[in-house]
Amino acid sequence: MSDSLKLAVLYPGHLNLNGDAANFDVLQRRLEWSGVSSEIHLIEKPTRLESFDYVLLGHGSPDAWSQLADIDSDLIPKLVKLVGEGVPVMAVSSGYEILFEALNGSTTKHAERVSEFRDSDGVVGYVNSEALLPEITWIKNSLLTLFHGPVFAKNPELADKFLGDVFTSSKSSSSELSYVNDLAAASRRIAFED
Amino acid sequence: MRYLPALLVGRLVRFAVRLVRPGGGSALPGLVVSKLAPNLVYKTLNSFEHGLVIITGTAGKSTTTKMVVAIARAHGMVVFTNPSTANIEQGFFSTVVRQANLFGKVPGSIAILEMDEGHAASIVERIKPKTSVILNVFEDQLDRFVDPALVRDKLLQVAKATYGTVVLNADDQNCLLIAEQTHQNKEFFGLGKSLAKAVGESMSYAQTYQKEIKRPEAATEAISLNGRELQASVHGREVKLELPSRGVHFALDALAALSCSREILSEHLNLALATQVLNDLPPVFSRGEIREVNGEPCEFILIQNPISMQLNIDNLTKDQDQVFFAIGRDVHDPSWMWTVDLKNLKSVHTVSGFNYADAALLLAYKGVSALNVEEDYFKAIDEFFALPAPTHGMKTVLYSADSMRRLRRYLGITDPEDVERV
Repeated sequence: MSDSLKLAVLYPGHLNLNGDAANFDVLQRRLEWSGVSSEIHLIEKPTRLESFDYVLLGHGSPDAWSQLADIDSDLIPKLVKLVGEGVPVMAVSSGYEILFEALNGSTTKHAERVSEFRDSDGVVGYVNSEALLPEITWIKNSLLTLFHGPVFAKNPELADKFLGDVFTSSKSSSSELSYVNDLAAASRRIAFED
Repeated sequence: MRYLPALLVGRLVRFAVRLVRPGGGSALPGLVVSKLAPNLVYKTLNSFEHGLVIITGTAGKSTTTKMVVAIARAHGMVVFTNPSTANIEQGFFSTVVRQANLFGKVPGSIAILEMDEGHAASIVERIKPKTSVILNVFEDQLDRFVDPALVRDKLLQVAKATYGTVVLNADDQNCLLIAEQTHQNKEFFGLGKSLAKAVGESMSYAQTYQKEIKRPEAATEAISLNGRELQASVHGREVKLELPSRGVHFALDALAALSCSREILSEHLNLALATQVLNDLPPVFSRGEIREVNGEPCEFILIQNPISMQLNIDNLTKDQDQVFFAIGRDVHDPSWMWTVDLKNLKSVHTVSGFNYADAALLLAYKGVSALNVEEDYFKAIDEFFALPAPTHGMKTVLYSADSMRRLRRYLGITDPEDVERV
């Protein structure tokens, strides 16, 4: 039995259109630099998700979601259950929209597409969506966000908040972390430079 | 003479831009003329005796166009074409401004044009290609295109607007979907089955998420690829040639070019001559281009999207110890870089460009060491080219389009045709 934390990336073949899966690479590396081991599982078929410590649902195209519905029709109900139990689930863009609707029984309104960097209380990320949703929504320990791509690389504090107690209780003052945290600050600044 | 005033103004603008910025000025004259004489370019492009050839798709447009143009010219055709930096509507206008006489006539019996896939659908509403080449659909510029399926729809419009033959990539399911929806005459090119399987992982075309379509027989198909040596079958005849640069993507470009040339020249295609042309052809600038800087050879490689970054990194020679990695402001949303597998990139010497911080973050989290992260781009260039020759391989520059333009201007490399075959 491994002591490593288990990180699940759901259907990267369908839901990694903007590099969302890299967020869990970022988590794994930050954990490693803090002395915590973890393993990433790429999930490509219906799987029990209870044993995972963190779960990622990325963004995909309409055609990708359509095919995925045939492959794993139970996926979203399983995630709703995990979110309710307090398991940290990260859901991005269309993944956010679909999971949010399932959690709230609501229908997301849409407007003209936004394709630009946005700042949400100091968290910076790229939005390319028509969904009228807040950039970031926390439900229990789960993070739902319109910010696609490697938002954790750009916003290490967000990554560490998502990791929760595991990270804050570890020794997290490595030189590698200082290096990437400084780069992340520069990256957030550059996002809004002309 | 109706286009005379617009053409004169356009030339004046081009002259003025070049005074300020040598090597620049491909877009602005076109913009001005497109406002003054909006029909000029369409009238010109529809007037060629042997029609119009459009080469489009996500990747390989520049190299394929250059190959087809060279083959057609070697067969005695007078060709009107566009530089790779001018592949949208304004670029066509600029090209016409540069080459037209005062009546708006350009020399040539055939037009062979590279066309941006995002602009293709609107352009073919007004010009009808005799032959179109649809190379591929990869995930690219999603901040602009959102979904590769939308790019496929644009390319479908090009296929439907074609009145002669549509040349398509048999290995790309996107092209096969387009083929299913068009009634035009179709020709296919592609890698042979074994080769396609061997490189399948790196040639990851955009997924269609639809039922797989059976691959058709390709009349132009690779038999083997060994470094730069390509052996292929063109309508049942075998050819051997040496590609301008290594890489399966250049092999596909050559296959597309041979297939397209067969369409243009039909039975007049001299395969021995076409092979010789491809053997002698220098690479398109920054697509595997090798040139001397400070008396030392350096390879320049343009990164435009996930697939070009993936293929170019996969093609790096092992133990490369002096790589310059620069991502400029043209990469509006750098997220796509994180979809690329960097396992073949062991280390980078210098990271710079407008998006240096995102580039350095990518390398750090993917476990690729970076020795010098330098915000000041010109300082980074100076320091990199001042380094002693590397112990392995040669200095290699991987850069995005904006970083490419800045670096080339800084080093005084302004002529895109100034590329030699090594």
